[in-house]
Amino acid sequence: MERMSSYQRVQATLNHEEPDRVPVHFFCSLKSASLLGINNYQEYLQKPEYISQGELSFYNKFHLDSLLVFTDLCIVPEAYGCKVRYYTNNSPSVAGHIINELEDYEKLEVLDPLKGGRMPTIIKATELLTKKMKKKVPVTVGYMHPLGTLLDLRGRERGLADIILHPALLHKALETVTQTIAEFLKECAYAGADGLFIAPGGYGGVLTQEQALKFGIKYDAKLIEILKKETGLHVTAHFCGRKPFIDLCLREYPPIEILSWWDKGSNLSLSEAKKKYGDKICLSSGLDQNKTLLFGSPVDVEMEAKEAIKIAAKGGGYILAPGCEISHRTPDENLFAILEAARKYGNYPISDK
Amino acid sequence: MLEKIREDILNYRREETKKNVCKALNEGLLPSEILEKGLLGGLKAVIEEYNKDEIGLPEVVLATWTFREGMEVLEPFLKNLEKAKPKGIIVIGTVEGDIHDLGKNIIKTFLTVSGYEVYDLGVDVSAKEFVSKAKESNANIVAMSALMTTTMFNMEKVVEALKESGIRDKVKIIIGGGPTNLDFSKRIGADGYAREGKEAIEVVDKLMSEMRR
Ligand code: B12
Ligand SMILES: [Zn+2]
Repeated sequence: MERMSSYQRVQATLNHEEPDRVPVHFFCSLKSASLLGINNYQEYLQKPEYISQGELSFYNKFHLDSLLVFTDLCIVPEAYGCKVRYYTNNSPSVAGHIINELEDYEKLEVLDPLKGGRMPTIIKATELLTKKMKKKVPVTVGYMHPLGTLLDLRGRERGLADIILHPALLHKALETVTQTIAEFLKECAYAGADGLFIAPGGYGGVLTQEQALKFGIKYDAKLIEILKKETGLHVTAHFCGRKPFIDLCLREYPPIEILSWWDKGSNLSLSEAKKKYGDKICLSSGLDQNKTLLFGSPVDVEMEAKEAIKIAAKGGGYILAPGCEISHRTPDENLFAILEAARKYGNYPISDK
Repeated sequence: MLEKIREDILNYRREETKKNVCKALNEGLLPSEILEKGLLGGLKAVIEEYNKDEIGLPEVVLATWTFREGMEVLEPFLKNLEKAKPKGIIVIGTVEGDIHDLGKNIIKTFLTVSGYEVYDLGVDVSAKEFVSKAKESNANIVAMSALMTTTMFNMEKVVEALKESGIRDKVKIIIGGGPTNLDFSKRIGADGYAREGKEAIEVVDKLMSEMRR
C-alpha cells in the first residue's frame, strides 16, 4: 500500500512539497475508447457515459495519478456550426468553416455551453467521472486556446492571412471566442473538475513573437485569468511541438500551476526548466512519446524515467509524464514501465545517486 | 520591371503583381526570366526571412497567394516556350487520416523555389493516390507529411503500396512532420527524412544525385 492517494500526491506536488513518490500522468483518448471496447471513435465522442467509462478503463489499467478529459479540438468549432469530419480510429477534424465572408467575423456570439454541440457531452462526462473518482484521483479537463479555435472557424490559411489583412476583425472575434471557451471550461469546473488544461499549440514556426503576443498569448492570458478568478482551479499550460514560446507565454500569463511540454523534442530541456521555473511551477514532462514510449523497450522507458526523476524530482513539483498525448499504438508494457519506474526511483526523499 | 515584381511578392500586392507580369510580358521580357527573377525571386526572399524567424506563416501564406496569382497570368506563356527543365519531379501529400498541411505547404514552396516540379495531392491522401500520381507523373521523389503519431504509420502503407506496384526502385521516398524522425524513416523503409524546409532541399538534392548514379 502506498502512503498517499493519487489526489494527495498531486496536491502535495502542486504545493511544491515532497509527496510519497513522484506522480505519473499520461493520456490518450483513442486508447481510452478502445479499452472500453468502443472501436468507432465517432460513436465514443457522442456519449458522456462512454467518455467517463473510457477514462475509468484507462485508469483501471494503468493506475496513473491524474486523468485528463480532452477528447478532441473540434468541440467548440462544431458548436459554432462548423462541419466536422469523423474517423473511426483517429481524432476528428474541422472540415467546413463558418466565417466565410468578413462580415461573419462580426456575427460571432458567445455560446451557451449547456446547449452547444458536444460541449454538454463533455460537461456531463466530467460530472460522471469526478463522481466515480470521489477525489481519489484528480480529473482535469482540457481545451485548445482561443486563436487556434478561431482559425478553425475561418480555415487556417485564410485566418492566418487575416492576421495581416484584417487584424481588428480578428481581435473582436477573439474576445468572443475567449468568452465561449471560458464559459465551457467554467461549466466543466462546476461539474466537478479538479483542474483545467489549456493547449496553446506551439506558436513557434507559425507566428512571430510579436504576432503570437498580440493574437494568441494575449487571449490565452485572458482565458486563464477568467478561469482562475471564477473557478480557483489549478491550470496546466500545455505546449506542443519543437519551437514553443514558453518563456514569452509564462511571462505574459497569470501564474499557472503546471507546465507541460515536450522536453525531449523542443527548445527547453528538463534541467533548464527545473532551474528556471522549478520553484514556482510544477513540471510535467521527461518521457519522449514519439521515441522511447512508442518504439523503445520497457527498459528504455525505465532508464529515461530514472534520468528525468534525477533531474527534476528533488524538492517536489514534478510529474513524470510524456511531452504530449501518447500514440494509441504505444505498447502497454511501456506504459506499465512508467509507473514501475516512479515506484522504483521516485520515492521521496530522492537521493542524489 | 523584374525587381518590381519581386517587390510586389514581398509586399503581397496581388493586383500589382498581375499587372506587372502583364507589363513585363508586353515589354518582351522572357517568361522564364519573369518567373526566375521576378515571381520566384520574391518568394525565395520571403522564405529566407521565414527561415530566419523574421516573419511568420501569415506572411508566407500571403506571399504564396500573390505568387500563385502572378503564375496564373504567366503560366500560359511558359507552356509555349521552353520551360526551364525542373531538377526533378516530386509528388507530395499529407498521409491518410491527417489534415495538417501548413508544414507540407511550406515544404512544397521550398522545393518549388529550389527548382523542382511539385505535384501536391493535398491532405488525407491514401496510399493508392500516392502510387497512381507517382506513376502518372513519372515522379523521382515521393514526399509524405504526417503530424500525428496516429497517422505516421500510414506512411508505411505508402511504402508498401509503392513496392507492390513495382515502382519502388524508380522513386526515392522522403518523409517529415512532427513525430517522425530519421529512425522512423529507416524503420518504414523510406530513403530520407528532414526536419524543415532547408534540410528538405538538401536531402532531396542528395537523393536525386544518388538516383542518377
Ligand atoms: C496547427 C495545428 C493544427 C491545425 C492544422 C491546420 C492545418 N491546416 O494544418 C488544426 C487545428 C486544424 C489541427 C487539428 C488537429 N490536430 Co493539430 N496541431 C497543430 C499544431 C499546433 C501546429 C502544426 C503546424 O502547422 N506547425 C507549423 C508547421 C510549419 O510546422 P510543421 O507542420 O511541423 O512542419 C514542419 C516540419 O515538421 C517539416 N515537415 C512537415 N511535413 C513535412 C514533409 C516532408 C516531406 C518533409 C521533408 C518535412 C516536413 O517541415 C515543416 C516546415 O518547417 C501542432 C503542434 C505543433 N506545435 O506541432 C498540433 C498537433 C500536430 N495536432 C495534434 C492533434 C491531436 C490534432 C487533432 C487530432 C486535434 C483534434 N482532436 O481535433 C486534429 C487533427 C485532425 C486530423 N485527423 O488530422 C497533435 C498530434 C498529437 C499526436 N497524436 O501525435 C499535435 C502535436 C498537438 C497536440 N498534441 O494536440 N492541428
Ligand atoms: Zn501537445
